[in-house]
Amino acid sequence: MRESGTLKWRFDVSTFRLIGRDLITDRVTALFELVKNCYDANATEVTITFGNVGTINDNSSISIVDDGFGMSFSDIRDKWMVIGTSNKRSNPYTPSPFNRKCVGEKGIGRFAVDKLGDNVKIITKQNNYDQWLNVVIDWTSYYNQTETANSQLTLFTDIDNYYDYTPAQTLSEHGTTLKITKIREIWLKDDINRFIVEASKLVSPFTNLSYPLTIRVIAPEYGINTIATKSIEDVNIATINFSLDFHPLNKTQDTSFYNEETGIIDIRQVPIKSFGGISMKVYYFDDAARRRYRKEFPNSQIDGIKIYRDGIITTPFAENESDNDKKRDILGIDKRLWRNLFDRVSTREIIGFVEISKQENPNIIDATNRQDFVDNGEYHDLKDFIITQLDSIENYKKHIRDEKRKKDSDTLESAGQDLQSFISSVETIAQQNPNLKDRLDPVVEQAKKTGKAVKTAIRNKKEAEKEFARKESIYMSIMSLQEYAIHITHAVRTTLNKIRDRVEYFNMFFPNPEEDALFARYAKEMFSEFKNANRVIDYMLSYSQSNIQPEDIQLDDTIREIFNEYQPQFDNNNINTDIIIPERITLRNTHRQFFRDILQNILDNSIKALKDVDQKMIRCSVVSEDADLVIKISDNGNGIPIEKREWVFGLYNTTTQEQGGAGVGLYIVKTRVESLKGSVSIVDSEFGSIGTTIKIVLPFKK
Amino acid sequence: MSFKIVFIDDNMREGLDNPFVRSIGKFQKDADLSVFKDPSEGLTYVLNNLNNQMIVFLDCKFDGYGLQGINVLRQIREKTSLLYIVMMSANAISQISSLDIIEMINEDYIWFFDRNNGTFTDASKLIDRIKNLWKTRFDCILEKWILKHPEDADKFAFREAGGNSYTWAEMLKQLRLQTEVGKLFEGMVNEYYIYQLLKSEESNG
Repeated sequence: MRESGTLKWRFDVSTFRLIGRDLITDRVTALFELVKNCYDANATEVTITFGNVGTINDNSSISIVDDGFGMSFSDIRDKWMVIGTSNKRSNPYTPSPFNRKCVGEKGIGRFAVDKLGDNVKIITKQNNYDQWLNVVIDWTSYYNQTETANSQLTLFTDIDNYYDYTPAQTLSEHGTTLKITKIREIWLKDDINRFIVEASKLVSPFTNLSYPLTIRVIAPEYGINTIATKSIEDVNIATINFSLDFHPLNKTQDTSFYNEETGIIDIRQVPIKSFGGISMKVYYFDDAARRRYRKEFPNSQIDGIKIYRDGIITTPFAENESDNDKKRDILGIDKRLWRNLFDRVSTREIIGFVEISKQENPNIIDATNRQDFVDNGEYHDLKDFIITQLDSIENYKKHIRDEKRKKDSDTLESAGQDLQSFISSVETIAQQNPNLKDRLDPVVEQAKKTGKAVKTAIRNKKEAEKEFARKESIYMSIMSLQEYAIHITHAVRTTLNKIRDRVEYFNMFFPNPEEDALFARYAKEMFSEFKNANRVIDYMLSYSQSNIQPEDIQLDDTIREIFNEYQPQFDNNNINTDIIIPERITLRNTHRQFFRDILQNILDNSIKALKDVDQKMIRCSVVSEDADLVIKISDNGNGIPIEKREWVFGLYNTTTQEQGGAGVGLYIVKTRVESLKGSVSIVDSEFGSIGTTIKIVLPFKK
Repeated sequence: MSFKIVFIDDNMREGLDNPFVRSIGKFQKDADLSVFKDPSEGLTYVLNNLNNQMIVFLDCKFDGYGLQGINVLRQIREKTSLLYIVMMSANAISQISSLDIIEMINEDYIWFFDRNNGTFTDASKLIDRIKNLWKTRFDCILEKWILKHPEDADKFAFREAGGNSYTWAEMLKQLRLQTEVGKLFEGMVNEYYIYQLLKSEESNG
């Protein structure tokens, strides 16, 4: 029989406070950290029991009971009671046969106990031991010690923690119980439910765990006794989904895009990104699917995309907020203000799982407060990649909306036609059987009335659609004006400030013979800044040209005209151009200004993309194919990453921000092309592995 | 005593020939100036030079860079809370996200310089104010002491109970990096002097 005795903790009280109280900011996170420790101890079952936690009282308790491998006396003495000696770092996997990847890497999870309550009893036993070890820790004595002792003595504490042993029933029983008493904060039913929702997200439902972990939560005072597990069934009722993987052998990463021809979300491959390969599953729920979800899983929520590392959730998402509006939006999904408002996907419409691993994504690191990731370039790229993937769902939504609108119109149209043929059949019968005329006349009369009503309905619907389109365009223009105003003011301000700095320098330090060259340079720079300011203002004014009348145009002439206007810029930048239009092309009843907008924006982009290229080339070709006119504009510049081929057409999405791209150009191109009933896309570059080719297809009758 | 002024601003493409930087150099002749237009390069430089007296002029908005001013601020603050940072913006404050503003307000040793309305002289006055603060700060006084009395630099200053010992020069570094031992030492020295002053007052009285 081993004896009882006392144990000393081996760290400095201030460090303890820092970790226990400052790093773990809320109690749901604290409890969650303790559950992670159970996972790391190869537990298959954890039971968390809340007792009398509804008020602050001396009998309140939270117990965490697991059937993990337990701790030995030396584990407690040499690991539990020493800070920063997590053995999980050198052994990233838990003992066989579980071989779980450890999740409590920093070894601070156990200090979360302090966040929860003042007193803890640890009862633990390993396999083959005949006794349970009990250790009692009273945190309050530390604080009393710190507050009374002088500063030198408090550096290391000398407080005794009592331990003893109790006999075990069998040698094979094992596990750890943490019984925390004198709970610091009240836990209401909602708080516990929040914890249940969080705990259910601990393990990704897609990670194939041979040894799953069941988390049971019991709170008798609230009638709670439930298992916190998220199942794959939750996502089975999703409307549409896609799944991405990465391929280490080819060093490629899947990326999604909406295929307008097939109406499904397709996958293509791009080189592995800076943050390493990831897997990702996203499930989109439309209105009906959301209603069904709420009914079938009343305790669960559709709550956006979560990141799992090695199958276990990363801490930033472990903090739930019962009020959806206050929820942390770490990936910035809901912050995409103004972008594509009507078809935008919000976190309340998707459930997503991003799977990363320590091995594959070493630079995606938890921030020290465990509430976000370390803000580095790789994390920015990861966020960017995830947001880009939502584009495919947004395009799908838009497609469905358009289809539905078209289908409704078609049904009405065909109802109108059916009525018409009904009337003519009845009239034919009436002609053939004059004796029925009296009886059939009222039917025909009624049918004609209904026919009129259907025609009116069709007309009204068309009017309503036009009205909606008009409103949508007003909304879009108001929204774009707001963002646009911010961009423009920033651009004008920056230019003005550059000029102001130089004027101020002149004012303060001119003349100075030693700085003559500098003054000359500043004068030149001011002149070119003025030119910049003028360009920005001209661009701004082009928005006011709303008076656009339809007319017939010679497209070949218009294109050459625009290229001619750009000639000085092409010359300045050493850009060669090539225009291939084999025939005269007349377009009837169209908008010359639209073609100017389209071409100018594409050329502006090409000039930016060619900035760092030696043999600069822009090529424009126009051919008529069947009933289509195909315009291709290509440059041999920087190119657009394949996964951004759809994304770049979104408002404010730009790959040339460094050259001053605001992300407006290609958006204008797309809206202009669409209003000409055409389509625009980025296709494989005509220059092969370099450059960009933009393909515009317009309906065309020779 | 020389100190560093670091400018991190994507619009300062001219580097040290930028008129704002040049004029600051004229006003602050003892300053060692550096300019970075890439925020991550600037951040690396700052983090590698933390044991210098330094003021960082940091732009809020970087077009086309992953890192923004607030990210750079956060990463500096992960390493030290002592560095003086002057956030600059050409945008109105109302255009900066309110969460970012709250974060900045809650930081110590941070200033805001309005690039639209502030003049070179205003910026230089701000630097003078910061230099004045240096005169009273413990780490700055210690640095001055070591400069005047180099023979004291390697003398023993402090030993942790059962742990490492530090010379005065090493302790200066610990103070700048705001390590646990640095903070502890500063607190103890301040307490000690309050105690000494009180005692001398008692013995005088």
